[in-house]
Amino acid sequence: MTSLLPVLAAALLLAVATVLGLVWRRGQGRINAATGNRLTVTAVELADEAGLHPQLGTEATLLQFSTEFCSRCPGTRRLLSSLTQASSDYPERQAVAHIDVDLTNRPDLARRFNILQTPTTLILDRDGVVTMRIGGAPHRGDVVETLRTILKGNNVSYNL
Amino acid sequence: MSPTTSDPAERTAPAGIDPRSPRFGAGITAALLLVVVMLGLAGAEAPAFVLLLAIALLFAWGAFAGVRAHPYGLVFRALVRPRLAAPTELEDPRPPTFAQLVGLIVTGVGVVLALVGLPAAIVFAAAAAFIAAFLNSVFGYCLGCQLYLVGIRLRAAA
Repeated sequence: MTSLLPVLAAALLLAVATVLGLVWRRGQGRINAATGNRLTVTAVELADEAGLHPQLGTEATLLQFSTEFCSRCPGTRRLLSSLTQASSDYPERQAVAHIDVDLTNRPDLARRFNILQTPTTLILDRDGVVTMRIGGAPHRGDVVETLRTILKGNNVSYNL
Repeated sequence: MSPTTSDPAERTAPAGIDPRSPRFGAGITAALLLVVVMLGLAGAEAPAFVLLLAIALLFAWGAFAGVRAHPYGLVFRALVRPRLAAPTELEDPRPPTFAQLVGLIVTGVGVVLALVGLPAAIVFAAAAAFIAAFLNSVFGYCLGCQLYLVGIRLRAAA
């Protein structure tokens, strides 16, 4: 019986790790409607040390939270920045903006938005209200669908 | 006016590595850690200790010389990568390098506790490190990335 213990323990470890991995993978990229308290993001709170702040999109904003130690943040950055739209109404503004915040120097934001993993993406409406939240690398289709819904509600049309 | 181009982290990022390379290495590490667990439970404490020490030293190599210089990375480039298609995108080497440091700490604690007379620590440390290495290799989960964020939040709370 004792000779079986190492093999059983190894099999158990493998099984536990596999279940953990499957559970984690199922939650990755899942998009959820914001629940609980209505959170509003302002451009000013995203300002860097120099006081420069990005501008929110006039119709919607893709707000990404990253750190330097994040294997999937660069890919997410590329995906979300490919979905930005220049505003047809306001020169030098974006209708759909992408803002990437490095949490290393902004732990206050990590707490305020309860960021538990990177990347985490919040989709904001034209008023900066958080409408959707995506933990992990987002799926392009989910983001496009949410943006289309927001743009439709705003009665504007952009080719996404 | 894309804010991404003015991101200093992007500008200073070192040259990318093939993301499959650290996952290949984590697979070897996971298999070796599972052997440590089995040796430890089979009562072969000395071989379990030596193997865990070797794994810890390999983690130290990756953590301090960088994943690019890690032996498994060299094996990957010499033997595996030529047989694969080109990677769809390259990855920042800093997260996997940080992960090596996390691995070093976990296995290092096991080695040190075993040296001060707690041999059971070998199995526990190897089991914990195995789960992280397995999740990294098979699922692409990055424990180091998660711990870094936890660290940021704890620093803010302190």
